[in-house]
Amino acid sequence: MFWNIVRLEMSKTYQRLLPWICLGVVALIVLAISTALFLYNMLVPGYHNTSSLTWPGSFVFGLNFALAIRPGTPMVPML
Amino acid sequence: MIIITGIVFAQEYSWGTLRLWLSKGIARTQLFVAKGVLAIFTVLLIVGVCLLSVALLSLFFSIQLQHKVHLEQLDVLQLLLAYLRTIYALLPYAALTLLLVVLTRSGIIAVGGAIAFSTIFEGLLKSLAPRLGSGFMHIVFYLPSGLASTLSSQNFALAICRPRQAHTSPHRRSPCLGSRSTHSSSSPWPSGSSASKIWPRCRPDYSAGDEDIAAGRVVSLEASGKVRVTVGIEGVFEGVLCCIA
Repeated sequence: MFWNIVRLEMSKTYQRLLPWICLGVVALIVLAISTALFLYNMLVPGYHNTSSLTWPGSFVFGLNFALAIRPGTPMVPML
Repeated sequence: MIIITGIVFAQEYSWGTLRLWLSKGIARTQLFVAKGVLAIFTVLLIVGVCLLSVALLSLFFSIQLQHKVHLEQLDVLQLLLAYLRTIYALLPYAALTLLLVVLTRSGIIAVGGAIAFSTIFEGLLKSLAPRLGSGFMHIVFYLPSGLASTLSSQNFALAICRPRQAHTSPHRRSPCLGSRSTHSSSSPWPSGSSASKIWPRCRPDYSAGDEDIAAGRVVSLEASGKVRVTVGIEGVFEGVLCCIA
């Protein structure tokens, strides 16, 4: 019975298009910020902090980004 | 995450479907645990999407900046642990939202309250605590953001290059670190200090000077003997941890 409820809740939430759009927005924000950092790194002389852009340091960036968006600002369209 | 949790729980009250569920003989506990599973799955998805995005991008950036991708430097076990740590750090906010939903039965109040707590209240308390005394500083460490900062500082183990050679020169910098010059060769981590206890995997052979940037972590040795570690990735996430060296 419990797993039936879980399955129902999952389908109720994730069969809609909006959560996936919101996840796409999250991915786009990550891409935009990373690209902006990369360009800043390339354009500003004397600034060479590439560790958060390159493998494997970028994973720390991704995890910290996930923590930073804890209020779920990109999920606002779901309201 | 707060918003999704708040909406998923509060909709049951506003639409009246919770009464329908309960009238069918489903236990209240089962219903709440099922929704908790949904909240955890949402957190898994959000963190997973963030990781996947940076993984794909870093392949491109590594080729552009280093002309090579050091795939062997990724510790998969550490990555998995960091993933779980991040999810764990996000759960207190989900629990707070759930509490507010149950207490107020309103999605707006629950979501607004949780966001206000995570952005305004925690920020205010963190900035005021040093002025109020050392006792209040201890309270800050037990706030969800303090937990998140502590757990995310452990994630920096991911950014530490695994040695490819048995012996490297102390003056030779790791490619994980930026191209800034080192100022001294003395380690700011005294053996057995609280700093090295909190970050046991954060470069025990750390050879930077007063200030350096190691994978977005700014470490500075203050005149008072305190090691100040700013956990921040270019302004996206910033938390300050202080510990007495």
